[in-house]
Parts: sequence; structure tokens; C-alpha cells
Amino acid sequence: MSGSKMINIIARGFIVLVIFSLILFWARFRCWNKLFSNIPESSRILAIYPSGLIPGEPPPHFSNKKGYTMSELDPNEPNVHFSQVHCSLEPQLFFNNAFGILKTLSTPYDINEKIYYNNYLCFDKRKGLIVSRYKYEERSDAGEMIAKSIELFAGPHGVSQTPEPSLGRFNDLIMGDIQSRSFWIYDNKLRQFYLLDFVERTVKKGIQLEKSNTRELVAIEIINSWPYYSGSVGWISSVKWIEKYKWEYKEITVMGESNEKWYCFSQDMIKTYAPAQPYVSVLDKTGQIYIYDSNEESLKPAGYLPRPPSLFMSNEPQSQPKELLVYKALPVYAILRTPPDFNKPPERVEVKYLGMNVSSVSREGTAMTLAVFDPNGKQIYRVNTNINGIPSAQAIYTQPPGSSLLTAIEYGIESLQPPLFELASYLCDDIIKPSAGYRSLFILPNSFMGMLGRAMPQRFVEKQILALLWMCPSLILSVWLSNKIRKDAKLTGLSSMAVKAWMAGTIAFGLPAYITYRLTRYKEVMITCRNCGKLRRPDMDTCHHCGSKWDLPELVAPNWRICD
Amino acid sequence: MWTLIKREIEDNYIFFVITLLITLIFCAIFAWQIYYGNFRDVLVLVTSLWNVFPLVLIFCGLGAAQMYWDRTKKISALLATLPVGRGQIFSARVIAGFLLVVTGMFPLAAVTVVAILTKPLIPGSLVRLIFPQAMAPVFLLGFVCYCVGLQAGWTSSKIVPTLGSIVISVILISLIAIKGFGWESYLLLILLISACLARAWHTFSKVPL
Repeated sequence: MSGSKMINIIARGFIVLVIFSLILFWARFRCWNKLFSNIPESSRILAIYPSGLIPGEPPPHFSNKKGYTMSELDPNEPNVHFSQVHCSLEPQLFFNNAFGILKTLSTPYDINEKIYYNNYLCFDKRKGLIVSRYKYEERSDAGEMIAKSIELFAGPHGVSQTPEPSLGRFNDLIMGDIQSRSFWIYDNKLRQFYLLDFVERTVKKGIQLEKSNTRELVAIEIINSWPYYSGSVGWISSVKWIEKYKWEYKEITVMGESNEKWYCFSQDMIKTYAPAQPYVSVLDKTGQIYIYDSNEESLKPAGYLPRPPSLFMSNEPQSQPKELLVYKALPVYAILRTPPDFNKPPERVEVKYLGMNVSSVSREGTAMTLAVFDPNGKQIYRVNTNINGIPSAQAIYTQPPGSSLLTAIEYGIESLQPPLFELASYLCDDIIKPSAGYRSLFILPNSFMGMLGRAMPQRFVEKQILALLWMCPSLILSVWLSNKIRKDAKLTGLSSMAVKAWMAGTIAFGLPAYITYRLTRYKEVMITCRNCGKLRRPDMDTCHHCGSKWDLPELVAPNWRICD
Repeated sequence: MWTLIKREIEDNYIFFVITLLITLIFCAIFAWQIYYGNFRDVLVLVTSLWNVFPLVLIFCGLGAAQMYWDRTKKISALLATLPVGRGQIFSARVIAGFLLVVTGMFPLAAVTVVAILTKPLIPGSLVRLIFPQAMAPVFLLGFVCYCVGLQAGWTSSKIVPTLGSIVISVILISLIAIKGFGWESYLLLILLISACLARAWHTFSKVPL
């Protein structure tokens, strides 16, 4: 086979593979979308109420319940005056993850990709500085308000209006969900916490972790996806209290403290009421959560990312951040404030950490877990999504009406994928990020093979046998197609080397390889061989069946005769 | 070579005219929205780039037309009588296609740059991040569709180049929707361009004129 023909086959094969994979993607998307939509609404919401975090409240109930809003508030509900921890899994979460374009356009920053920016704040990697640009209004001499904008640069050594070298450089930076202009960051290379304040234009150093400490932090104020992306329409996790129809905070008495009134907040609200909050929640690579107390300069364990159940069940309670599609940790704080009127500027603010709720969604998006941790980091409550009492990661494929058929179709579509990619999906483990799993075209970490590959690490032999069985349809199809190619290639006069190459290619790449073969095979009309009578190619010197040339030697009469 | 490129452009001037017309309309709408409309978010600005999809189909049409007319009118056979090689004819064709894509994309890119520079909504470092991130895959997609047209046009049938290239282009457009503006899009699109050009050249160079 000539070089140019080889390039032609590879080029055509690649085009076929891409188009084939795109078509399969849309077929899979349709199936998954339908499967997710089939999950009953009651199975998508987890709630623990009372939360178990607020002093003085009774023990909690666990519920898969419909989330409520202010307008739906039922005053006769006995637990309505207590705090509630809840999270909700919506089909849009899958939809948003399946399209990279949505992610690019609607995600101001992605902690996993370590690109941080929103409208006015970003980390300039080239300069190693955090840039904050914001608008403000200033009163002119004539008394008119004039809109102005300012750009500030922050480095480890200070804040300035120009990117001066004296500011130093940040390196491997982790920033939280930045809503205000004063926030904590952590530099993984310098292993140092910093408190940046763009209003006061100061940079305050926090604790520096020791070199011997192997913890690699991955997130501050733990949430791995922006609300536009997976929040209000995709996935919510929050702590609510509705006493006297107020959502913002709850008045409580903290045990063992003075008789002064404390107010309770979840992390997403505390910044409004306690700007100088001393606690920062941080997450390390293993999924362990810590509370950094900047007053005591200490890092204390506060909980961990709970592992949601998967199709092939795993008993491990803790999950790593890279194994989850989305996760969120919401600490709850009590604030003692003087004066207690929140409309007035505080003279004194005291903050006490009460515990946290952590929710996580499995990388396939089929299961969610909600866990509550006390102030010492001990898990006190934990609930998982389920359908009819069966964990949702398993039930989604069988329980809702029509889901069994959809699962079968989904499996059929996955079996059309080239066996090589199926094998890669099985072996890829966590190489592909969970949020990219649904967007994969070739290696499918969210396919059944991918899920199997990540499961049952302790039952090695059983897992390999199961994988082989799972791949059977795909392998049978590939072997059948390669056999068809072998028969056809022999008829069209391909060399035995070329036939073997095509067969190996078809076993590896399945249907796309077969389509490529059909598109590139010899198409000219063949001629009957005068020697063997079979069809031979006109462009070859010898017949590929009997090896005779075009010019056959004349028939010479033998010297012998048959006599009676 | 320049003469060949010029001839390609002259032969297919209608594609250039339509492309320029559509681009200018988009630019006018775009500029009006930036300066007088309610454009507050730079991310919304990026979405406007997706208005270029009709252009992508025109690029595809040029590729198909070039090859279709070559095959039916025996243009290459005529040119081969002159001291011109097949490589030069093919290169001139591809360069003309590239220029068409530039004609379609450059005004939009220019308006975006001017808008970003004159409307300081975001830090300068972000402009560098967002601008190539959004424009490069759209440009590559346009060129991929042109290359798909080159392949689809090499037939004596009229239906195959028209419908075939449109269907394949629509499927390929979804590639960006799925993969977004990341490096995976760049890689896949560049590989697709290479594969399509290799295929088109193989077909063009092997077929007797």
C-alpha cells in the first residue's frame, strides 16, 4: 500500500470517526436527558430538618421532600421554625455539563481549571497578580455624582494601582467564591494564606503550612461550580431558617456562652453581617475539609466530602474532589454583634463556628449525598437520594416508567462505540474530569464501562470478568465486521498484510473502521480471469486468486495421446 | 500563483460578496448593541460571535463549488495545459478559501477588538484570554467547513455536494457546542482540517484530468 493511500485512509478514517462519535453523542444525550427527566421530583431533593447544627433544636428528621419557598411556607408544619439543610439535584445539571459552550459562556471561573475571573476581578497568571477593577461614584465639587473606575493589583507584598515588581508574585493560587472586595486566598506554592482587602488596600499574611505537611489544598469556601452554571437551575445546597418569615438569620442562644443574643448564619450570608469573619473553610486533595481559624492561626478538621452511591456500590464514606461532579460545603456560624441592629455598623463582632453541611453529586450525576458535621468534624447525619427506597444511582436505570427501555437503548448506543475506546473508558479511571465526562466524544467515563472501571477495586477478577461480559456486544460486532472485511478484501485482491491490518483496525475501531473500509475499498469493475474464471482487478499485473498474468502462454499440445 | 488565486476569487466572487454583506450586517448590529444597546456583560459579547454560523455554510458552499465546477467544467484540465502544476492549482484554491474565511471573520474580530478597547468593561488581561478563546475556534470551524465542501464537491451530482456538505457542517458545528472553546476544540478542528485537506489533495491529485 502506497504512503499517499495510507494517509488517505487514515484521514478518511479520522473524519468518519469524528462524525460517527458526534452522532453517537447526540443519541446518548437524548437517552440521558430522558433518564434524568424521569427521576421523580421528590427523589431529587434531600432535606434534614432541623439541621442538627443549631443549639437548642430537637433531633432532625430525614426526608426526600419537595423544596419550599417563602410563598409555599406552611405555618402548620411543626418543624418550620427550625433550621433546614437541603440540597436539590436538577436535570439541568446534566444539560449544562453536556455542553462546553454553556460552561465557557456562563462560568466566570472554574476552580478546577484554576482560571479565576469575574466581571471585575481576575488572577493575571503572567504578572502573578490579582487584578481588581471596579466602578465607584464620587461627588464632584459641584455636588454631582461622577462614576469612576479603578484598577488595583495585589501581590503577596501589597496592593497598588500599578503592577509593580515590588508587589511580588502569586503562583499556584486558590481563591474562594469572591463576592466582596475582602477575601482569603491560598498560594499552594508558598503554602501561605493571605487576606486581601481591596478597600483598605492591604494584604495580611495568614498561617503558613509546614513543608512537611503533605496537604495540597484545592479550594477555599468550598464550591466547585459557579451558581450560573449549576446553582439555581442545576443544583442547590443551602441552610435555611424561616423563623418569623425571615430567611436571613436566626436568633439563638449558644450554650455555655453569656446570655447575650447570638445570630446564626450560613456561609453564603455571613459576609453581609460579619465582614471580619475569622473562619475560612478549605478543602484538600483527599476530600478532607478544614476550618482555618485566623484568630488562632490553626487548621482544624471540619468534615469531608461524602461519597454518593454509584451503580456499582462502594462502601467508602469519603470522596476526593476529582471524583465528584459538584460539591459544596456550607459552614454555619453564630455571631454575637454589638450593637445587635444589623443596619448599624458593628462595634464588636464575635463569630463562633457551629458545624457545616456538605453536599456532593456523583460524577455521573445520578446520586447526591447530604451530610452534616458537628464543630469537631464528626459526621452526625447523612442522607442519599433514592427512588422507591433504592439508591438513585441504581434505581434511575430501572425504577421510573420507561427507564429500562432507555437503559437498554443507552447500552446499545455505547456498544456501537469502538472497542478500543470502551476499553479506554474502562481504564481511564479519573483521568477525565467529572464535569467533562458528559462532553466526551471518544473515551466515555460516564458510560457503563467507565463506571465499572472505577468500581470494585478490591474485587479484581470479578471486575475483569464483568467488564469482558459488558464488552461482548461491542466485541462481537467488531469481530463480525472484521470477518466481513476479510472476505471482501480477499475478493478485491488486498494483500494478506493489508487484510490483517484492516481486520486488526476493525476489531479496535469497530463500526467507524468498517465504514472507512467501505468508503476506501477498490470500486472499479473487475474482469473475469481467463485462467481461473474468478473476478480479478484490471489494475494488477497478476490475478490475485491464481497469480496468472494477463498474457497467458499458448496452449501447447502434449506429446502423448490417449489410445483405446 | 497570485494569478491563480485571483482567478479563483473572480470565478467565485459571488461567495465573497455575500460573505462580506452578511458580515457587515452582523458588524453593524453588533456595534449598535455595544454602543447603544444593553451590552453589559462581556460574555454576552462573546455569544454574539455565534451569529457567524450562516457564514460557515457559505464557506462550505465555496469549497463544494470550487470542486464541482472543476470536475464538471474541466477547469484543471484546461489549466494543466499551461505551465502550472496540480499542487499550485490546489494551493491557490485553498488560499482562496482561506481568504474567504478571513473576509468573513476579520471585520467581526476587528469590531470586537475596537469594542473591547473603547468600552473598558474588564481588565486588559481578560481581553487576551477571552478574545482568542472565542474567535479562534470559530475561525477554525469556518475553515473546516470549507474543507468539507472541497471533498463533497468532487462529484458530478449536484445533490450530494449541497446536502452532504450542509449535513456534515451542521454535525461539525455541534462539535463546538459540545466541546466549548477549550484546547480540545482547537485540537480536533486542526486535525479535521489536516485530514480534510489530505483527503481532498489525494482525490484531486489521483484523478485523471
